[in-house]
Amino acid sequence: MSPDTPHLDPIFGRLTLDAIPFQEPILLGTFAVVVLLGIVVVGVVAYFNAWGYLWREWITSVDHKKIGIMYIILAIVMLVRGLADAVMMRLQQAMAFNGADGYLPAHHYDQIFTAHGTIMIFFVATPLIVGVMNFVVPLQIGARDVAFPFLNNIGFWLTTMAAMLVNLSLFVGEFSQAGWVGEPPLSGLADLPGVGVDYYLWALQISGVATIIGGINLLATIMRMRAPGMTFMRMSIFTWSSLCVNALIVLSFPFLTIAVSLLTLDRLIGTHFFTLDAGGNPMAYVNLVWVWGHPEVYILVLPALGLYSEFVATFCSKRLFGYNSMVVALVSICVIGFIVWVHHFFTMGSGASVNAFFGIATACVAIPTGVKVYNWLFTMYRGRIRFEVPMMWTISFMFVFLLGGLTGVLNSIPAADYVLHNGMMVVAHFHNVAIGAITFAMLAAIDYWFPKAFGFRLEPFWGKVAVWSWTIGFFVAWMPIYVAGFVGVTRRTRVFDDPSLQPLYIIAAIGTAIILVGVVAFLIQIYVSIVNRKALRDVTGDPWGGRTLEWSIASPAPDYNFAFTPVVHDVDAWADMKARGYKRPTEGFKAIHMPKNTATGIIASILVFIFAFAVIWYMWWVAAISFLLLLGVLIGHTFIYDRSFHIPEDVVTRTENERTRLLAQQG
Amino acid sequence: MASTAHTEVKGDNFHVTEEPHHEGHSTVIGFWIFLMQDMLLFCGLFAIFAWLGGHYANGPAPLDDGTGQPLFHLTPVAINTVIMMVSAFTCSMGMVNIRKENVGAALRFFGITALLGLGFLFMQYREAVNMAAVGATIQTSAFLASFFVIIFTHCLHVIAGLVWFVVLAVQINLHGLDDANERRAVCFSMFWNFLDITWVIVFVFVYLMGVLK
Amino acid sequence: MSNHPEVHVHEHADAGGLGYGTQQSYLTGLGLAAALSAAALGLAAVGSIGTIQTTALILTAIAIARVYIHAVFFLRIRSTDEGGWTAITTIFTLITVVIAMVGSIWIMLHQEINMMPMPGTDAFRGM
Repeated sequence: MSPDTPHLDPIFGRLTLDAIPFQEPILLGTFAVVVLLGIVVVGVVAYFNAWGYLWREWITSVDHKKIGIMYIILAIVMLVRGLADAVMMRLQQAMAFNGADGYLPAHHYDQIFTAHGTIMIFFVATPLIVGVMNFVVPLQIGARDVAFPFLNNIGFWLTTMAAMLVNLSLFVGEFSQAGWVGEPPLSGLADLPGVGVDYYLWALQISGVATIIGGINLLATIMRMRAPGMTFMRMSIFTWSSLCVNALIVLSFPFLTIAVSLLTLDRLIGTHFFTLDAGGNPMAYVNLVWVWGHPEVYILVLPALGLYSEFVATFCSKRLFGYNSMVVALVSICVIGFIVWVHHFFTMGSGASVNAFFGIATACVAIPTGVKVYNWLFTMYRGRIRFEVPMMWTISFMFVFLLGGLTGVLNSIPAADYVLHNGMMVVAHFHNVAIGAITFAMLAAIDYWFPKAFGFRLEPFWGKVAVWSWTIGFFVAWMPIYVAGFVGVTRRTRVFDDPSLQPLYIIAAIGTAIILVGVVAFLIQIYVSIVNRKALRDVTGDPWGGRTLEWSIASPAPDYNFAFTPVVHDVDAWADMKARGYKRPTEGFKAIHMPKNTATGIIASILVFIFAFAVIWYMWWVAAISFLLLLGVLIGHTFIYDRSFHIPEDVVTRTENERTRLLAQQG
Repeated sequence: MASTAHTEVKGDNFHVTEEPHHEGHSTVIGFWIFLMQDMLLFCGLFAIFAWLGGHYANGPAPLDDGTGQPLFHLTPVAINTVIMMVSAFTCSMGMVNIRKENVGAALRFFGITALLGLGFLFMQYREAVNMAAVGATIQTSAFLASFFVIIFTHCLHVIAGLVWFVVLAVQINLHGLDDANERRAVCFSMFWNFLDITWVIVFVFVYLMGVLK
Repeated sequence: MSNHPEVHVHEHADAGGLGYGTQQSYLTGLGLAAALSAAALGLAAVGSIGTIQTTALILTAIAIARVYIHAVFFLRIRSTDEGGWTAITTIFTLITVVIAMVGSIWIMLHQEINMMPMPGTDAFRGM
């Protein structure tokens, strides 16, 4: 099919033994570690004979809480991978001075920065956000479930399979070398004929579709499943931001799907959308990708801003200052987010009028964002702040994010952007925002809702170590990069000619090591907490003095979330209930209608994985078979009419009586 | 639902005891959101067509396929427009009968819709074959790539609609017109109407504007 | 705050108004759609009225009218369906469509003016 592969094996397509990188010691070492870890995991599961448990309770589960947890686990695993890429880049850049070539060959280095960006955006930030939204939103709106539990399950498994595709590219073939947005003509067949870009495109395509599926699900959930009395203006700010974010997902991801599909067509059947000949125009891809790409930035950031609103209100034991203005700010960021995309390619040369419009629109984003920052500050003002770990993340975020926001405004000026474009200044800016807002928020969210998920709190000491290491590490790692950006260093550089830059990169490498300490501290925190889970047990279900509905139920949350659907009278429904002397009902429980688990999600996703792998390697017969099977599985699924069951009354009663007993014990 | 022992709100007004959501409560809005994102998929394709639709690369153009003949022939396009319009009507008539629980008539109307869909696909196939005969394929130029990708995407939707019709007919035969099947019929008719709307856009913005002199 | 729980749980027990029209509305819709399509086709077949831009504008207006008729007579979108959500999602989607289309065309026009011509971009139609 492809023009440049004359000798295509009918069975294996272009897959040969050469595709496995035996000659790369780094990759072989990684492979060995992955295999070892895999054996350990399989061994542990086999030792506890947990296959059935995993299959029944997790893999086929349609419980939004479990799917949310699985999303977060996926994200943490991929975070380790993405971070390893970051450390390798920083080492390379710290070493490659004075004629030294560093330890990474160019084609490997290019794959690493591409993989780092792709993984961090699509397989760390996105799953973290989707995971947290999945876990928290139904609980906050007083629902027992999401609108489309099966779609939720298949969305998770598709994301996982896309991530696996990226990981597989490490050991079979290669990954893209064209940067995380894969801009043509570099990502075209003429310049990168290998499988790397194809891996990239299919991973993006699958994860994009999965994200749309998840977005539709959560959107319908928030629209239709809020508890009685929860009007718009009584939703928590995090639910509001989830509503906005999922709207953004549904509105923007189709453009990614199109951009990626057309580039795939260019590479697969030789069309001329983005080629340099036959009338194609690479900038058409760049335009389309950023129509998606900028809203994507807000898709990642808005949930984080919603989370901080929750933390600030909870840990100051106050109602959030300026709730209405917060909502207006959220919605206006969404709308403005759609009219700023050219700032990613000011230098294309659309001219003064276009650049001026998009530059001014970009700068305008700072206004609603500023409103939010002031609202947090005014909430804290005269509040009784409790410095629990999530609150420490929040305060650290405010410093880091303010800096990132200001450098963003700087970048938004087209004239300045002509100097800064494709430079380290831009890299420093978006890491500043991404780490400060997204990473901090998600680590804080894990800390905050961990008791709701597992029934015990996380050990605060190691959490505080993580906060300090990330914060200090961030500044040490990225301030030198700002400096490098201001003196004109371009991004994605592998070796440097100017030795005066080396101290900057050495400092940055040290900063990365400090951040690494933060990550390790976070993992230790989880380990230590699991060991001490008895002492850290949360009996009340409300360990932080929470204000929203999820804290009204037991920790860990029961399968059915709410024994009775709550009725909401105010923003901060749970705080309102507590203030009005709410008494938890202890009898009269009824059977609860819940969705049944399904294996379709994982089976279909595995077939999608096989299909994508086959197309990447031009194994057409495998692609055809897996596609037909996929169709069969999905159509077969529509023949399952019996999709729900009832949790029997006595099970609900038993669960709730146990909670009554524990609460009484506590006094 | 299962137990009727405690139907009132208990003591305070912080709870309801009844089951808050019936099955399929979100299907229609969920499917509507899906259609909205589908509309944006087409929007992306049209944006690409707007950008590249004039890049003929010295190859076939709407008014000149290289031999002096027009590449776009309006007669088959007009036939297709009529087909899509009538099929949207028959599909909607199917829904009228679904609401009257008149299953046989509903399926007959849906069947006519599907047959019209087949006819549409045949016309599109003929057009593509005729274009290929003068060397106008998806690989020829950016204009043709952006043109064909719109046409193919639309045809894929029609094919999906046909498969859906077959599956729905089998399911209605198996289970009768229960709530789930009625929801599916509603979604099917929304989907098919959406296809007609898309075709109107293709018809006007791709074909008719392409042949303006 | 009200002390009465605002319970409105079974508000959408039926499948909703969406997709449920009457035979009468469908026939009206079919007639109007046929008339508009014929008008558009005739306009393009005859050639142009005035300049090409005027004709394109008229065609655009016809297309919008045709879609509107379809939405009203066939899909029966009403602002009250599904608690107003179909209307809201549709409005937001249309805003996005307009932003993406107008933005892309604007950006592209300026790019084609300001950048060196690329091979194959021999003709540009004012769409």
